[in-house]
Order: sequence, then structure tokens, then C-alpha cells
Amino acid sequence: MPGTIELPTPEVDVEQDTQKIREPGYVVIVWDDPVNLMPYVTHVFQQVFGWGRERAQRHMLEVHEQGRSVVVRDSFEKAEYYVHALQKYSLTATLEPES
Amino acid sequence: MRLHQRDDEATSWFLASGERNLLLTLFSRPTEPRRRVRLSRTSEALEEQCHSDLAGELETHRAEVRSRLVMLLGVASPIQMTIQTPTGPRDDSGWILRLTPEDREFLLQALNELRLGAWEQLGRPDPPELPDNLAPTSPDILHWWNLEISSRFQGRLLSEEFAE
Repeated sequence: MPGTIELPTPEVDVEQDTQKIREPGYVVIVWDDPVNLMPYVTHVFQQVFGWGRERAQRHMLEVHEQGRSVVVRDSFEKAEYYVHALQKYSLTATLEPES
Repeated sequence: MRLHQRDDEATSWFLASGERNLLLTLFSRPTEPRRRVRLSRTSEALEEQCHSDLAGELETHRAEVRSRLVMLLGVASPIQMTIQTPTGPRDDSGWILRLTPEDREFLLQALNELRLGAWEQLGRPDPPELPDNLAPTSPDILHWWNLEISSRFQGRLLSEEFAE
């Protein structure tokens, strides 16, 4: 059709994108600290979020190398639940309004 | 501590007598007071709300976890077996600690709590590595020991149970 252009399809995380539309967001951030061991952090991500090892390791490395990783985008209640779950494992996790 | 057996419901761990006594001691005594953790870094309102929701819950959880672990260590079964070593067979006596997946998580949490408590008592060293010049009379020795010993148990649990 003349006069139209085809836009590239953005790469989005479908699951996260749907959640964002459903409910205004909060994010759970895990922050780097010098004391929690890397295999432990990976394990906690697998247990708390049910992630596979590869995804858990990716977020663990993000925490380690970039100082933080956003691990959840969700409603206040769910985000708070995850912060509590991570705190039970003594990870440095906080809840922030999504900017 | 080493993985002894696994079935559909739980894993069994061999603990030498000294290891069982050590864990019982660690989980029976009062924990070091922990610094208040922030739950939000950008919003004071969120910080207050989350903190009031969480206040007490973590302490209760940690106390329950420790008492559960003390109970599990208390009902561990004695075992005597012969193991093969590079220098030949050796009689080994100890205890079998059976952990469901939930109990295994409790043990990991409790060990990490010990690590963090000790680390905070040491002034949050970065990296958390034993200094070369630590005097034998230093009051920090017990904290370094707690940090080190809980790291070893934690590492053993993770590396043996989840080895690929």
C-alpha cells in the first residue's frame, strides 16, 4: 500500500508487557552486596521465581556486574510478596515504584 | 557433611558427630542483632508501608526456621559405616540428617543468616576475606569463624545437591 511504512517489530518480553498493561507497576530490585555468594543468589532466584538455572544466572550476573537487577515488575501486593521472600533468604532486595 | 542418599521426598546428609554438634550449637544460640534493612530506596512511603508489613514477620520466620533445624538435628539417626579413602577403608560414624526440599531451604536460609550476622558484626568488610594480620586474641575471631564455617556448609549443600 502506498504511503505506508512497515515498522520493525519491537522485541518485548510478552509476559512482562502484559503485566504492565494490567496493573501499574512496582519493581523488585536485587542489589549487589559483597557477602552473598554467587551460587547462593542463583539458587534463591530459582527457588523464589521458579526460573531455570540459565535465567537465574543471568540475573545473578547482572546484579554482580551492574550492581542491580530488576527481577519483578508487578502489582504492589505481588512485588511486596517477592521482596519478603527474598528477604527471608537475606538478599538485598527492595520494592520501588516503576518509573 | 556429604550427600548420603536421595529419594523422591528428601535428601539424606551424612554429618560427622562434630558437624552435628556444631550445627546444633550454631542454631541453638541467640543470633546477632541484624541491622534494619531498607525495603525501598526511592520512596519513604513505601519503606514505611513495607516495613510495617514485614516487621516481626522476618524475626518470627527466622526463629521458626532455627527451631525446626534444631529439632531435625535432634532426631537425626546415628549411623556407622565403612568408607573408602585413598589410604584404605575407614570406619566412619556420624548422623543422617534428612531434609525435605523445604527443610533444605530453611537450612540454607539459616546458614546465610549466620553469615550476614557475622559480616555485619565485622563492620561489613568488602571483600569479606579473613585479614592476614588477624591477631589470635582479636575479638573478631568468632565472627570470622562463623562467617567461614557457615559458608562451608552452605557451599557443600549447594554444590552437592545441585551438581549438574
